[in-house]
Amino acid sequence: MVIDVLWNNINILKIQKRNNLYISSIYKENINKVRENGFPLYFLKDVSVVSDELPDIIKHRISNINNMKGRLKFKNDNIDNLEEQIYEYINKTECRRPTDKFSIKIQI
Amino acid sequence: MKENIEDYRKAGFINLDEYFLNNPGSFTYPYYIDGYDEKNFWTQVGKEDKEKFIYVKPREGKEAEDIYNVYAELLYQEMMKQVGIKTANFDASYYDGNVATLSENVLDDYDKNEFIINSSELLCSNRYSSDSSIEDLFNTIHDYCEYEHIDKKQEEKCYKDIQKVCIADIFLLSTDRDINDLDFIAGKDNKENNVLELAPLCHNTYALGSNFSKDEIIDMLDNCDDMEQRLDLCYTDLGIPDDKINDNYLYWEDSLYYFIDKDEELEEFAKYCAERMNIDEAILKVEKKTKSKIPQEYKEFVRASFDQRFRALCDCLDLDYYKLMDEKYYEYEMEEK
Repeated sequence: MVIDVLWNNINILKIQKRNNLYISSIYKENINKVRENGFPLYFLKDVSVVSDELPDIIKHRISNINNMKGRLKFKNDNIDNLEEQIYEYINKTECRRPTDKFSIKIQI
Repeated sequence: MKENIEDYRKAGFINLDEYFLNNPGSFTYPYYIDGYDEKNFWTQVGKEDKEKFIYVKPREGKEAEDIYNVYAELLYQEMMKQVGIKTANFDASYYDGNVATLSENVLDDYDKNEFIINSSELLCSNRYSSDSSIEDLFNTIHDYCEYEHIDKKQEEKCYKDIQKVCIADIFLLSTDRDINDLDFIAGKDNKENNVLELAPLCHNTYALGSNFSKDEIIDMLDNCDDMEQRLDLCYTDLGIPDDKINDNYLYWEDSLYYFIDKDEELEEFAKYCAERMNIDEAILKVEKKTKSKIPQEYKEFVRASFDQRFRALCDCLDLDYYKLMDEKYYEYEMEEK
């Protein structure tokens, strides 16, 4: 599973899940472009190359996943299957907001 | 078919249900601004060329208390305007059969390179927890400004603006704010400089004692002592440092002294709030905006609750309550004329 974090549709961060670890890599070649569009590097300052947790910026965006369940009308209504719900939530919404340019995409 | 949401206002409230029924194409998937809030969402309204986002905060019902909370939000924003603090431009509405507030996106132009970041998002990037203190927030802002090469003046303004909001919150008995629900505008401005500034405020549902039920409000109006005691306990928990807490004072008094004791500008601002904030003017403006009448018992209650806090604050700030009231109402009456 690969999670892509984008800013204004430009890739910034790639997170690969291998076993129970998340391996993060920054798209260095795109940093100047996203900086021009207002992206703060501050968000990347603590991203670990290898971690057993998703980076904070992603975790924060999906932190209320259980509360959102009702409104999102998930196909799979099994609340125990949180990881699947997170994928479905991200796939459906790309975690976009009208107040910033972040989006998150998943490739399985 | 009416396309302007203002045309859907009935008895003061814009009926979004009816709007979406008549304008199905304009409704998009809800987007969430706050990672901790499950109900609030963004949606699009208007025709394609004039499409804009609105922020909707639905309440859980349409009981008296829910209606009070909507009016509290509107009164709060009017009173913040009186002292020059920007808030979202809230309006009263119905959504999903319940009352709600709505506001246009506070970012003027979404295509600009500015964006809104919530304080919880900033704090979590700096490894602070959900019960962070105001000083944690200041440290985080400092780190952000250093990292993004934001100039010292702008950083200082950011601290001052946060503290001014906290002081104004004390006047308005706001219990709804914690350090995790302030928003900031960040990104790049038109001159390509990195920016960080306090965004217009969005979270004010429980201002002016509106956290109480209708029965409690009616009881309090009959019992001044009870009202005084209960309202004294209305404060925003900002996590001010333990050594600034004095057991002889109420928490909001400690908060006020924490902000004004070492800063003349903030003390002046507190005095400015005392001079400028006028609940009657705010009530009139809200009624004019919504083309409706605020429920009488709630109107009496917010007048009394503001007045009680205002008196207490005049004592804290060494101001003459009666003189201020005379001046305020003389000016107000002249403006009305």
